[in-house]
Amino acid sequence: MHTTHKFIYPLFSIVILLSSHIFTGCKNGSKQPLVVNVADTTKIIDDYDTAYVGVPLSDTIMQHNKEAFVIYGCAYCHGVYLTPVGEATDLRKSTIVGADVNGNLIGRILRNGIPLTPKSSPMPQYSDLKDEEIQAISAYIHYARDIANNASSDSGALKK
Amino acid sequence: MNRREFSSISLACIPGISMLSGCITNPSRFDPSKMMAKSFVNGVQFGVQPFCYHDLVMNVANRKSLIEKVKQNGFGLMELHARWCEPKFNEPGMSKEDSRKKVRQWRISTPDSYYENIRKEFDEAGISILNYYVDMDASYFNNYMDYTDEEVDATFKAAKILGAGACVGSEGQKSIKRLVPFAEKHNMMISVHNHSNLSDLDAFNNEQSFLNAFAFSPNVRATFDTRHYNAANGDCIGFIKKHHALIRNIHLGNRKRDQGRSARFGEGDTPLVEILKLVRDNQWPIPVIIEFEHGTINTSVTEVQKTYQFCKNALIS
Repeated sequence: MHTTHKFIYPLFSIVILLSSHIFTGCKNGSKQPLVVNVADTTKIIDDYDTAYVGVPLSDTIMQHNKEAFVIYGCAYCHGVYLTPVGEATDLRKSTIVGADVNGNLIGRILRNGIPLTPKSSPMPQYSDLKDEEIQAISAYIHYARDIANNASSDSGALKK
Repeated sequence: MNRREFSSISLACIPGISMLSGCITNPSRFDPSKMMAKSFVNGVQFGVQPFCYHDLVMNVANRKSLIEKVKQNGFGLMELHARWCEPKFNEPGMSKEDSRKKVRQWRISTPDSYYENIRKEFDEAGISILNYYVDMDASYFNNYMDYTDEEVDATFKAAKILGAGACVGSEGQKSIKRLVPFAEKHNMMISVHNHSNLSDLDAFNNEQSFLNAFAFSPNVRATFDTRHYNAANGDCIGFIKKHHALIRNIHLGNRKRDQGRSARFGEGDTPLVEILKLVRDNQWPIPVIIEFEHGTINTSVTEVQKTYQFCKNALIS
């Protein structure tokens, strides 16, 4: 076995050297060797993005609702604090949100999406979410909308 | 380094050799010889779409932070959106018309040195710009998108200075047809990016819409978005197998079918692992650009790292 190792290691070294030579040789002016990444089994540790999501709310249930709103991707288009990005609907001004009671209208839109639209990216459907998750998202939209509309002069209110 | 790691690295080099030689003989494809040699995994070139950095507003002031994040994630390739380069002219009190005029004037009068300096920032960070992402279509509501011919011409020129081989955006078919002569003039590609809107006949959303664009010119390529194609109930694997020669790059992301939501890598139903293995096993010179819109409470750098790690794991299995 030991002898085999002695033979195989130099063989692979030759492959690497040849590869490096070929890669650097075909780069116009670049001397960097090709970096080959292999899988890293190091665990990537979850963190919490306070800059984006905000400091956790003291109301733990609402914090859970907020995280549902963020984790399911709503915030990507509608904004964590309901300031929309791009072509997304402004939920602070939405009449549907205004008329919604306990998620009865928001839930319908979440489950079905809005497939027919002139926008480039239609609102996706969330039919795989559980009722509790839909409720959590709806509750956060109302919470954030109330704060945004009542304290528009204090844009940092939600973060506190 | 143990024997297994040593063997993995050595074997991983081999697909890269054939991939590179294929690129050199076919200059219309992605050409790694002009790119920074980073973020290759078993012969597959990876990059990142800065949309992943959800916590970073796309503007000129944040460009340095963007570069830092891309470096932290170890990518040597990316798509750059014009918003990272173009200043905004939206001072308080300025009308939309005045703002539009100023943007237009800025685009057509900005000296080459402005973009040369931006490119230098990326070069120094070891990051190549694959495509310049810019929407030049007035059909969607952004009053900066109704590009005049002069602006389109200046934008392709800017993209070229940045080192991009193509302009890509979310334009519809009519707009792409209009942009083709500019791509040809600058000896660049115009790359077509699909979304999932099936109700818009002008949109790129299925195979036929791509075929329509490919017929416009040899300078048309596909920036194939797996998320949206899957959500529009398209067959990602079938499309890549059939049209790989015209795919400039892949936007690798995950959405559920039937216009479903975005999902974390490994939790949706876009065949991500199969797509990655298809590119690897066929040694196609198609860069894979990671792009996701699934939500996260992690910092963006951590979430990007997690998705990248998912891809690395897929490619060694």
